[in-house]
Amino acid sequence: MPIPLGVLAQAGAGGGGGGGVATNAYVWLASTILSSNQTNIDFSNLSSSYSGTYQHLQIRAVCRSARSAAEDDLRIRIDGDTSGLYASHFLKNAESSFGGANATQMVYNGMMIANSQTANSFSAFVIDILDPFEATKNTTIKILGGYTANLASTVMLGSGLYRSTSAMSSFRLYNGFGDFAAGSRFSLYGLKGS
Amino acid sequence: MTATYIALANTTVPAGGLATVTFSNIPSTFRDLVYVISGQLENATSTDTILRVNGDSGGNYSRVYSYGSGASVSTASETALNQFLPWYTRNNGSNAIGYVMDYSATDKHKVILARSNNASNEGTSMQTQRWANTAAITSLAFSSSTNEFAQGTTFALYGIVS
Repeated sequence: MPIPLGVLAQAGAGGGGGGGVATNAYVWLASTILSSNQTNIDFSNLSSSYSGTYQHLQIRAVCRSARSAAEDDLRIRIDGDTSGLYASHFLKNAESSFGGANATQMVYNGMMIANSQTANSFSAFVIDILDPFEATKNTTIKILGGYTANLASTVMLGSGLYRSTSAMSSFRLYNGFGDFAAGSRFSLYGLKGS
Repeated sequence: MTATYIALANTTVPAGGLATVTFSNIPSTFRDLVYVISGQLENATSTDTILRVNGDSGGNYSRVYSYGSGASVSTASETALNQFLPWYTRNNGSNAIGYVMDYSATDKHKVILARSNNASNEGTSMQTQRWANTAAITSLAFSSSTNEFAQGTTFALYGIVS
């Protein structure tokens, strides 16, 4: 059954402006698309800009490490905090791995494709940051990510914990070994609670 | 406020079943796509659902997957496939969801992060899949050559803006 998309796509595009469509609960907030290699990806002013409107945040990323290697890490640090308040676990392929407890960042080993692998191949991640602005909860995250290429391939479910009840003001994505490659894309979305 | 997560199309399989469901003429105006499938196949033979991009049946697809049945867990990588294999199921309730990332970018191979679940038989799985082509995706065709999609199975496609 072929389903051409023209009519429904036009109907959806007007969704935010009325026409009987429900209020948007999932909203694009910001994006970074790299035109050249870059070490860190920072999203800042989160609490001041978004805490009154959004309950959760989501990162959707398509990225690649510029380092000549098969794969690198994906790391996340919140509010510039380098004390040992982080923990992370992940299920990578069929193996359960431990990113670390009392660590200085959340770390997901070998999750990002690097520059010795197939050209034009990128890793993809969907990262949910739950209740980042709640003052009574530590911040938790969950990740689905992976890539396939010539030297290695991986698929991963991950969890992360930041043991702080402070409202999140910023977070940084980095790989710990080198730059993100040009063409990498990072988008931030907000999910409303009500 | 511009809508971000937009319903592009959906269909429900009618009586008699369907062998193929195709989302065509996908516009390039979104950043990511999401497909959601809920339902079952016509008979009890467990079958991989096939997903082809832009009608490509060449050996340009690869994947890595992990699968847990409740009794065991396994993983494998496959290359030079003639299609994606996003949903392994049979004639009982199950579901599949896939995030088609940067589907309209022309500087990247296309990556799909996929999950599927069949609690009664096949278990749960996660996959990363890659289409080794930098062309923008304009169609997604789901088919099951030996076991049709059963009546009531739903296919939905969403676009995500950024």
